[in-house]
Amino acid sequence: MRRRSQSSTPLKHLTCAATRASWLKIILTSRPEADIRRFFDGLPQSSYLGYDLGTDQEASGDLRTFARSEFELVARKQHLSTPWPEEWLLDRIILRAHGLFIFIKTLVRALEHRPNRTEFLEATSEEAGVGLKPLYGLYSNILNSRIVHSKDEFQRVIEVLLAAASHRALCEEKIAELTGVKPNLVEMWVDELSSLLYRDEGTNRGIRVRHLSISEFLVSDDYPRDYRINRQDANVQLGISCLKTMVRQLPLNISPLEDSRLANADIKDPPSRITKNVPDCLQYSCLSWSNHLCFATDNNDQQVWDSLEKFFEGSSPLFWIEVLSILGMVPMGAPSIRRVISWAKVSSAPACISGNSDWQ
Amino acid sequence: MKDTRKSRLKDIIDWVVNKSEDTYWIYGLPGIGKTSLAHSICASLHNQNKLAGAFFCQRDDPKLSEPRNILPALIYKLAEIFPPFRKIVANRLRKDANLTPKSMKNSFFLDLLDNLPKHPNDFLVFVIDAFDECGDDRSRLRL
Repeated sequence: MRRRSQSSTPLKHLTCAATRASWLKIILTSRPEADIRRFFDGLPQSSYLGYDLGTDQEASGDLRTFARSEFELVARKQHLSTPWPEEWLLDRIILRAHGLFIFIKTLVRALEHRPNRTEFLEATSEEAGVGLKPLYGLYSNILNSRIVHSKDEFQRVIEVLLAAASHRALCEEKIAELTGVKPNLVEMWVDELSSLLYRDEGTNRGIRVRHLSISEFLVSDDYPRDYRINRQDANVQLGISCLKTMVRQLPLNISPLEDSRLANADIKDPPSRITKNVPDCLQYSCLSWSNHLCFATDNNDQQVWDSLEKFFEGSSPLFWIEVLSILGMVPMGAPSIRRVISWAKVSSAPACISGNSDWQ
Repeated sequence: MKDTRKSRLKDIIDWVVNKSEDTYWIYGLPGIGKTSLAHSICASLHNQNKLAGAFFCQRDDPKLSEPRNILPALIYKLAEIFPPFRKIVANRLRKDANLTPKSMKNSFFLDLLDNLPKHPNDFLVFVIDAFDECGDDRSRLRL
């Protein structure tokens, strides 16, 4: 909960500033999360106005306008006879969408490259439920219709994608390397699931989910489906993959420098040396391994200990610091090690480890 | 999208000019169209020279999900559009060239406002979208 209070700090200062400066106003949008609601409950009622967008009387009409215009684009592109879909089907879809524009947007995206569009619309419109249930039902239908084979590999890909997302969106080649899944398979899934995933051109074509609710659906326990991502396992597995990548790929003098006594400031053209000599996957591993590995609240996982032992028993830590130095990220080194030490000190350390003074 | 949330948008713009509250909090379920509405609000305020700055939080972007980045981004935007504010920010940075979002004191923005020699002639508005996506996803039990 430490950061939760931090997240309300800018809000406190902004609302305070708006109270003090009569010319300044704040407009804030968010989900009705408990901490944000509590924050506003603590303010004088005369200082803010709260509005539940779900109560907007015009929302249903707006959703219909939006859906009609989106479906018209599909119909025009695919040369379907209009109006498409027919009014009764549109009515049912609007009902199912439950005021959520993302439902219509995802549905329209999912119709692309699909031969049986009307059947898919009909099947989707039958999804009953309130709140997020129809949306999660739509996500589930899309996944089930697109991922037929290699479900274990797909689960691994999604785990890495979601675990890496808060640090850096990884492109399909990196995801393939870290999961051991064939790159063409990852590429095919990203194409097939273009209604849920996209390649972000702003982050070197890193793969992202189109909407936060998709990640939440994938980690949710509320909806029965083939894939359920455990965020802790996903992070730990990615941490182990990062350690393995470092043990495998970190050599002495990675850049390679002609004279190891050279100061960083005297090295010519560091950016091109990095691009040429430090593969992106290795860079990611060097920067993020401890965040992923120490995500778990306990330290009972023997796999993690084995990976750490393998990393620390050789010269890898020294080569790791060398990479951090080349990347200009040495200040990240100490917090990473401190994170691992704190994690290792958790009282439930396995007996075989607790006697090992190196970890204490 | 154009032609949606028209009367809501009008109400919000009217609120900026006519109502006494300092803050307008719009909340709703994921996917209901909050970000889309925030974009429309920004466009409308920008056209009327009333947009002081905007911050669109994003859970899967390390910079846009960091609460500490909100105030510096908004201060920068306000400094861009309002010269008297820009001047006191520049003076403050001259005195403390090593200032970072991390080392910035909580009262930094309030101190700047207190030292402002003159106020803008019209209302100015900060828009912050998807505030729930800012902060530690770990504490929220999400990936």
